[in-house]
Amino acid sequence: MYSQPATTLTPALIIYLIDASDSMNEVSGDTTRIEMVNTALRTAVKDLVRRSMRDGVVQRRYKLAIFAYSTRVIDVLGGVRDLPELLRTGVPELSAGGVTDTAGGFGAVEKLLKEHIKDFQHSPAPLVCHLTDGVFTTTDPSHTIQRIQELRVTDGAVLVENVYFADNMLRRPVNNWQQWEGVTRPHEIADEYARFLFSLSSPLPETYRQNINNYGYHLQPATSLFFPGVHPDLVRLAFAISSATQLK
Amino acid sequence: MGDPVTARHMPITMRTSSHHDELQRAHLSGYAAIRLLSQRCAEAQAQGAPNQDYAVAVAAPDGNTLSFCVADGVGSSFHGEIAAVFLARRLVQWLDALPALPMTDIGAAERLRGELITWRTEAQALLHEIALPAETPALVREVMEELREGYGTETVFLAGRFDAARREGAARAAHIQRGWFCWMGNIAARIQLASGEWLAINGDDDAARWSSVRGLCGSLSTRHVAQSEMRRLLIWSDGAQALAAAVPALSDAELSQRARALLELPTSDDVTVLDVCWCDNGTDL
Repeated sequence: MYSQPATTLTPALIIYLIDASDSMNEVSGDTTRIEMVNTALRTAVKDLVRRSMRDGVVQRRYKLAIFAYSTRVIDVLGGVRDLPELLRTGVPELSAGGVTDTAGGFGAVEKLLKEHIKDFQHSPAPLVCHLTDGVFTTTDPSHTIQRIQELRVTDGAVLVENVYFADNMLRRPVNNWQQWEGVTRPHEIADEYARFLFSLSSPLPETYRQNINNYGYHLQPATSLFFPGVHPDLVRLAFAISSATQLK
Repeated sequence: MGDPVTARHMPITMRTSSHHDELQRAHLSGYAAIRLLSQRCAEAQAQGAPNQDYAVAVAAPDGNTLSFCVADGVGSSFHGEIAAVFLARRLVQWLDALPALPMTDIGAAERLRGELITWRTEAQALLHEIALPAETPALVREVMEELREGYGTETVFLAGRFDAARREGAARAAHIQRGWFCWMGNIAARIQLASGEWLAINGDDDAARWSSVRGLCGSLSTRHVAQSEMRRLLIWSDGAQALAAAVPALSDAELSQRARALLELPTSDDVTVLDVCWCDNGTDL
């Protein structure tokens, strides 16, 4: 499971679901949360380009969709786009404002997945990478997220990754994020909403863990696709995980 | 025993083509036969792109010396096919120029490490001759430039040399004396002994590779082999993994057909197989 490489015949689908509510304009270190997301998204696309290159040409090994949600949900790319197609128009920069309709965001993701999942039956399992900094202000998205995780392709169930921007959410402080081993159990998390998101995060597939650790990370087995967005390096890691499919 | 220097005056060279998919065959004075299969993946064939694998073999006409290399350029580096061609040619030149095979691994491995580091500069200079097309999207251009300067061109490889000596008056297959292998990465090799047993030569360290910027990424592995009556040598790139076990029993037509069948798979990758048979009259292959 989770061993299918991303190829031109079996491209991988990655869906980025980004909280673009007003609180994402808050300062984090020397930048803002939304700027951290924009930077990490651009870096992730560059990583996909590297993984897709052959003879200087970007191959169609990845398909992307980006949703930004606040008071309403915006399909930033207008559907599922090939990586080469996205590169011709450029990586979008997101701006923030409004409330936090997380359920609306996941609802849009579920609709897109149900429409397109038949095209990815022999591809790597689709992955939804969700970034947020605050509690939802509309309805509870849990059931929608669980329905998404029940969708399957041959390679495995759809994966849901959650990245949460909040201070002091881990019980043990981390001094070196490069050495961080990941979260395996709820009691490692001090923040209640972070525990909620952790409970709705898929397990990190072992193949993805090995692939990402080849880049110098130290995620341990049985860790979850849950990442604290408290440091740019961790946000970058979370985005890098989203493209950690096997290379052929 | 034949004079290896004299015998190498007219070497036989086989090398794969970057844009032509084919199976080549050569016979060496009735004592050895070589076939070399090269096929680009489906993606490359559809786009007219070059093969990222490269193989070269240089043999004395009497089969007493054979130097070879199979390399697989790293797709996520800057034009990995450049590293594959460059390094394979350098390695075979270096191996073929050795007056005799080393008796131990240690000194030869150290000398080769030095060469692998020295060769970086020349390979990196080749990259700077490549201009990116004007229509390259800005982000792709940024990635390519970062790759060129930060990673360079990279390849995995398995190279080696066999020195053999024919018994006086012997009409049978060459009596293999010594072989020496060096590798980085996941190119695979096996030797068949006279008993029929197969000996695997390498491990499967996917992470090790040679880089025109960083030099040795991971460990250089070497192995010295001394066996009499080695009958067969098989080397293959990972794209050929699915058919490697069957190769000894396949005719040329069957091997080509099995390789073409791999093109239908989503995981279609460049395929290279080097198959050398030291046999009674070269017809066992």
